[in-house]
Amino acid sequence: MANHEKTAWIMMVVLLIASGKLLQTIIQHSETLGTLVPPNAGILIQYVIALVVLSIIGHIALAITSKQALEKKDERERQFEVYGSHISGLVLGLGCVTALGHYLVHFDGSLLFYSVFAALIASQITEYLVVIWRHRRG
Amino acid sequence: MAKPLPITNCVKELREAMGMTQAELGERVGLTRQTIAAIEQRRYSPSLETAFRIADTFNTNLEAVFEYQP
Repeated sequence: MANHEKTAWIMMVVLLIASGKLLQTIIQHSETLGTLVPPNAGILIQYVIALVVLSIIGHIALAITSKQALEKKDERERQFEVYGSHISGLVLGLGCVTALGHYLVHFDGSLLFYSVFAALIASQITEYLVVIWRHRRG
Repeated sequence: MAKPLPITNCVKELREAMGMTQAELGERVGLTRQTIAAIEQRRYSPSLETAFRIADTFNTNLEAVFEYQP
């Protein structure tokens, strides 16, 4: 497996774990409040810190186990990344437009925030998935 | 399986004739082993610059390594 693909796997797993934990926290707080908890800087800072720490751990583990870890991306891998970014941009755009459309109907600012945030996460996961798929496909 | 690309090549034959591994060739032309494998299997067409570098590594010209077969 190419180092670039391993990195995409690590980042996708890290993002899924951190985002899953964030979702769980938001659901717990919302159940306690009885309504959707407004966006909270504390929770989001914890999420970002968890994301950064897990990414660093993942990359250190990759560097220890793979001698290719320091290799630069080659032209084919850069093409995969460009294609991944393109698809990811489409997902982000679609998610944001959907979230804005929902806001126009329901006027729920908290839900708008979470929807755009979810679109951001979904777009990043899509980018990793596309990179992995392109590596698998050739 | 994806359709092979229209540019054929004899990278594998030339590489083996020189006793090189995919990783060694990749290192010499600035590609990963996986990309060399993809070129050999016609799943990836390299950039013109890389194609020239590959041909140069084999001490031959571009046409001796790559051929367009529409």
